[in-house]
Order: sequence, then C-alpha cells, then structure tokens
Amino acid sequence: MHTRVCVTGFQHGMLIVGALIANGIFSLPRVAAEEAGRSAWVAVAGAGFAVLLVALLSNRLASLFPGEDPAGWSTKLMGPLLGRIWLLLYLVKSCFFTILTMRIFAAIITNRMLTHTPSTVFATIILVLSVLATLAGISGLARFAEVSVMLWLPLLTLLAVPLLGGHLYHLRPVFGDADISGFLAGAKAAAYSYAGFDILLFSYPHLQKPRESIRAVLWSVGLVTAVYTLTTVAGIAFFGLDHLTRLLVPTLVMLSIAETSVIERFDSLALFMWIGMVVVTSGTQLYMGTRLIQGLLPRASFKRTAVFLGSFLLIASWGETPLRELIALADLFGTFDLSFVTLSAVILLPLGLLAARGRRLG
Amino acid sequence: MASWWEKITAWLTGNTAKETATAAVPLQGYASDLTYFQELFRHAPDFTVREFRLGVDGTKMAALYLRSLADEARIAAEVILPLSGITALVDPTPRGAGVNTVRNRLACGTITEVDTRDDALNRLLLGEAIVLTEGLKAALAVDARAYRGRSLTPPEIETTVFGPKLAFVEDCELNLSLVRQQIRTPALRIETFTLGKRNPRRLLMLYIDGLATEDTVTQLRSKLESIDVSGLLQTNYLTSLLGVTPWSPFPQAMQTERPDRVSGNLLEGRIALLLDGSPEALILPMGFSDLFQSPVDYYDHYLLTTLQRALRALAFLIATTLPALYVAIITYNYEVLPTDLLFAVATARAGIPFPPVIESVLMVVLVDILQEGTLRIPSKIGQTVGVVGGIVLGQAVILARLVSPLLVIVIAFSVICSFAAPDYRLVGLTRLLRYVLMVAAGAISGIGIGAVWTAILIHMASLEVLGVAYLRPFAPLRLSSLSDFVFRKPYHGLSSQTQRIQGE
Repeated sequence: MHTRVCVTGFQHGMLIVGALIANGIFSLPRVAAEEAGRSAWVAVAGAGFAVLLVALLSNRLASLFPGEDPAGWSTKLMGPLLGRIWLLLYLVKSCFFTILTMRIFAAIITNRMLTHTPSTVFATIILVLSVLATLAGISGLARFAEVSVMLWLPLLTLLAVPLLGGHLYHLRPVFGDADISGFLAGAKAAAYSYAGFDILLFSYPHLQKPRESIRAVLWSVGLVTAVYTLTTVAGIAFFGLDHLTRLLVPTLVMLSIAETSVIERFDSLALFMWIGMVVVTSGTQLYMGTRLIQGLLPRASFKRTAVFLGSFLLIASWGETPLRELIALADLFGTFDLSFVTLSAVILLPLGLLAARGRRLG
Repeated sequence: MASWWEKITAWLTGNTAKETATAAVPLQGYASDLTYFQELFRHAPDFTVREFRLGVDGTKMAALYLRSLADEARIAAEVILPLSGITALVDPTPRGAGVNTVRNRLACGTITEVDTRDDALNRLLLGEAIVLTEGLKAALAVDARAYRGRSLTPPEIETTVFGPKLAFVEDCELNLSLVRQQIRTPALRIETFTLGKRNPRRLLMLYIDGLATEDTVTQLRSKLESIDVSGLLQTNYLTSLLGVTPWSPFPQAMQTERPDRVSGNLLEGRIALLLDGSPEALILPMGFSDLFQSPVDYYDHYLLTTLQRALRALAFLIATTLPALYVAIITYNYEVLPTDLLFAVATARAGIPFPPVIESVLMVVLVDILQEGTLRIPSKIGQTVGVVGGIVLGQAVILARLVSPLLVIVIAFSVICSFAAPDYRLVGLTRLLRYVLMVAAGAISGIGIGAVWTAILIHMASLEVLGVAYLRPFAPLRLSSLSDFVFRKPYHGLSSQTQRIQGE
C-alpha cells in the first residue's frame, strides 16, 4: 500500500480524541453510576487507564509494520484465511460503531429538540458528512479532527458550572462505596465511551514522525480520561446518586444548567455544535471500514468503497429505535469493542514481534 | 483546449493530441517570412513593415512591428538608424555570424534570437519588433514595447490609511518595477511564460530563491506549463486554472492590487504571478486565514492589529451565521433566550405574516439586490439609491409589518459585518454561506447550522493549495506560525516568516 506521510503527532492525538469523544459522554455518568455507585468516577478513570495500556500495546503493534495499516499487514501476519476473518470481524465492529454513533446522536436530537422530525433525517445528515470526511482521506480527516476538537471540546468547560454548583457531600466517601466487582462493572459500563481509539492503527503509517506516536497516545487518552472523570464527578456532585441514575442523558441536563444574561440554556447550543465531534467519530470509523474493505478487496477504489459503505450503513440502519434501547446496545457494544481490540493487541503483538525478528534475521 | 468534438474525432481517427498538434515551423528566409507575416496581418492596419538596404552589398532588411503595441520612435532610433549604418554583413555563411553583426549594432536592451515563425508571431503580438535579414534563417526580436496604459494610481479596493499609495496597472513590466523597488535582492527569481494560443499573454512568475520551497515552485511551474487555453485576459481566469479544487467557492489564491502586499508575501516564501494586461497580482499558496489579513496590519501597532484581526474573524462569523441563528432560535429553539428577551422578541414579531425563514430570506434578498444595484449605479446617484433603499425601504417594510424590526437589525448588522473582511472575495463567500445557513436553520434548526459548518470545515480541511493545507496554521497546528495569524507579535518577536509556508 502506498502511504502518504502527512499526519503530525498532534493530529494523531487529535484523531484519537475525536474518535473517542462523541455520544458516550452524554450517558456516561449514569451508566457508570448505575454499576459503581459513588465509585463511578474511579471506575471511569480506571477504564481510561486500562484503555491507555491497550492503546500503547496497539501502538507497538502498529510500529512493527511501518507504512502499513491493518488492511495491509493482517493477512501477512495471520495468513490469508485468518487474516481475512479478522478483517471481516473488524469491519463488522467498525460498521456497528458507525451506526450506533449516528443513531444515538440522531435519537438524542429527536428526543430533546425536534420531536416531530424522524431521527433518520439526522442519521442521514451525519452519515453524509461522515462520508465527506472519509473522502477527504486520512490527511483531511486528521485536519478536520484537529480543528473540530479545538473548536468544540472547550464547550465542555460549561460542565464547570454544575461542578461548582454541586454538593460535596454527594461525593463522600471520596473513592466511593463500591466493591471490586462493582468497580469493574462500572469500568465495563464506561467501555463504550472509550471505543474508537484503535484509529491509531490506521493513522500510524501516515505519521511524519512515528516516534511522536507514544506521546500522542498518552496525552490524548489522558485528556479524554480526565474529561470523562470530571464529567462523572460533576454528575454525581450535582444530582446525587439517586437522581443521576434516573436521567437518560445527564451530561446534557447538566449543560442546560449553565446560564448567562443572553443565553438561558446551553444544551441546545451544545447539541448544534457537537455534531462536528460526532462526525469526527463516525468519520474515523467509516474510514477504518473503508480501509478494511480494501484489505479484503485490494482492488476496490477508496472513494467508491466509502460511498458504498456509507449508503449501505444508512439503509441497514433505517428506521426508528428508542434512545434507551440504543444506549443499552451501546453498553454491550462497548464491552465487545474493548475486548476485540485488547485481544487483537495481546495476540497479534507477540506474532508481530516474532515476524519482525524473523525479518531481521532472514 | 480541444473541444469535445475535436477529442472525439481525434479518438476515432486514432490521432493522439500530440500527433494533431502542429509542429513549430522554422523561419524560411527573408522573402518567404516577410510574405508570410504580410499575408497574416493583411487585415491589420497597425501592422508595419520598414524595409531598408545595407549600404554596400544591398542586403535587404525589414523591421516588422505592430504600431499599436510598439514604440515607433524607439524602433527608429534603436533599430533602423543603427542598422542603416552597417555597410555589409561580415560573413553570412557561417551560422550566427551575420546575426551577431546585426545584434551588435542594435541599440536596444533586450534582443532575442528567434528561429521559428510561431515564436516570432508571439513576440510580435506582445509588442516586440522582429528584424528579418536577407540571407539569414534566424531573426531578431527587439523589445520596443510602448506603454500606453494609465499612470500609477492609489489602490481602489485595498485602501489603507498608512503605507505605500501605489497600485498595480495593466503593464506587466511596470508592475515588476513596482515590486523591484521593494525587493532589491538578486535572489528574486523571475520566470516568464507565454499563455494563450490564440491570444498570447506574458506571465511573470516571481519568487525569492531560498525562501520559496523548491517543491512549490516546481508544482506551480508545471501547472503553468500545462495550461492550454486559447487566451487569458485577467488573473481571475488563472485562479480557476491553477486551483486544485476549481468548484470550491473558497478563494484559493490571493489577488491583490498592492505591490507592498506582493513584496511582503514574496518575503514569506510565496510565489507571485503578474499577467500582462491585468492590474492584479496572484499570490500562491494561500490559506483561509490569509483572507483576514490586510496590508495595513503591518503599518499599525501590533496590539491594534491583533484586535482588528479578531474583529474581522468575529465579523465573518456574525455575517454568515447571525441571520441563521435568528431563524433557528425564533422558529425552534426559543428556550435558549432568557424570558425577558423572549417577550421582547415575541412583541416585535407580533403580526408578522411570514415564518422567520421566509422573512429572513426575503430581507436578505432585498439587501443583496440593493447592493448589486448600487454597485452598477453611477457613483453620484449611488448614495441616493443607498439612502432610499436602506432607510426608506427598511422603514416601510417595518411599518407594513412585513418583517420585524429585530430582523432588520440582525440583517443590517450582518451585512455591515460582511464588509469588515479585507479581501473582497470574502464578501461574496459570506453572502453565499448566509443563504445556505438560513435555509438549513429553517429546515432543521441549529442542527442545520452545525451540519453546514461541519461540511464547510470538512471541505476546508480537504483543500490543499500547491501541497499546502488550506487551514494552516491551525491544521496542521503550528504554534510558531500563529504569531502572525491570529495575533501579530511585534516585529522583533515575529518568528522566521518562511516557516509559515514551509512548515508543511
């Protein structure tokens, strides 16, 4: 595969941040608190740490195949049959993630803002924008992620308002009251919010300076973990555990609390702008899906494949699904995603190291 | 460029483009070439042939030129008079000896040897004089172009309070001298191209060796060499021919009438193009942030400049998005307004028969038509029309309860903001985006605004001009380069200017 060196270390990190932060943040405080109680924020931080370890393993795996992404190295590493099966599984995962991302956001808009408009309208818009982002290639996608994250992530500073207005006694005891199983369940529930970091496998071959990758992984996953942890702390502090677990998308409710003399509710404005972040996430997944199809069908044209995949996903996910069901589905998917990426990294890394050693010796 | 019919026939007959292209015809000799040019210009009354003979051996010579383009007095003094003094060609047999004799006697600055009829014709059309000599297969082209343009005037579009008060004119050489006056270095490279098959025009490519990247220069050079058009009249034509994405509404080359702006950009490692007959220069590569920069930025205090740049960016956002936000909030998302403001808005809109989106689009169309109208009205009555349109019509639509007073404020403010842009092309882009955003907001509220802005960002992120990202220095982020984009540091604090372009 011909790779164009065009992604900076900063863009690599921004791609990871953009791929991680989309819809998960809206329901994260609730899903984590339901399982881990007051320890939810510790569980979220712990999940972030686990994700960081897997991301570092994935980064090492990517570094073994300079100039190639999984579409290129999977069949070389695992053989044609196993490699294709793995690519197919990976493709299904990426497609499902794209569908979930666009569907959840569309359902949130229909649920909270434009109740008479079918969510499919918004899902279509997100998918069209994702296809456009994919067609821009990895360099365009990286620039888009960079600008989007810099523009929209500061919106989350609005969460400081409920954080400051919260009650400290809601947070006591500081590390919560969950046992180890509750803590692990909370971390597992947070997995969906951390899905998507494996974009690093696809952007690594395009890095101008591959040695900057580790630093990018560290700060990007660290930043997302910090944002998620603070969001969860804000949710618990402001609503208290009982109230929090009754809210479907508590982060949006928290955003509606920030108020100025000109704007009374920020949740609507936040949703207007957050579409950019959602498109970064679904765009990266669509890009990965397109490259994976190219791994399966090497002669497939990138642009046509991206358009075809986008159209297919839209038709495949046509219809209305309640938001609560989608979020429940996302929780299941998050566990699968993290397991798949972790297992892939743990199994393929030794194989890759052996292959690299073989290449060096022979 | 070959038409589709020519392409089809070429394909059907199996002739490739190269095969169908006519080969350059060499000069055939004095009599034959003279007849050829006389025949070619038989309908051109300004085509002039001055024939004369050398003193002793009677060798025939002729100076061919177009009176409308060349300076006859210069030709008489610098070509005909010196040549009349030659008694004989020293030795016409060895190739070049006779040509050198003629060349040595000419009193002109620029003399070029010409071998083909096409080259001679192109030079003739550019205003040069062609000297044909009996017995020689080569001719000499003498630069004796006359300047018949307007005199130097102050800039009309890019006006500034401080700084140089000279603008480019239609003459390429004069424009080059204006740049030369500011860039006095031998590293200034000037490459000449002749563009246009039927209507050739001279184009100068200017860059500073060592500052402009070799890759960018090579890319632009090959693009210019590959341009295949019948004629170019203005630099605007070039923008679409050189643009990586010609269908994009975003300007991808800076267009300026100011020599100081060209000089400044050359020093930043960019490339400038000067086209004969066009009073504007093109500067490449450019990014979106360049649209917010004005030459005056470097003549004012850096703090003031930083504030002005921030205001321009804010004005662009307001100009494009404020009417759309009005539509979205009034139609769907009134919950974002505080209660007092909401009551005020509701009172202002009471009795308006149209939905906000129709009301807004109607008002913007009205203002845009008014703007178009005043552009084409003679300046003396233009102000009157502006007053009638702006104040009388505006007042009338409010009294007739067709639009709300709040909307008039929103649209008026938005239109004023659109003129805060230093680059006039940004005004057109703002108008275009304003319509798209308003319709999107009317259809699906603020989500439409967010979706359109996301699409715009994706489009800008995918754009590259000569290999340089359109969104630089924000994407890819170059912190060192931001010192002269969002902010403007004092001169001693500005980082190496060339980093801005070479960084990618």
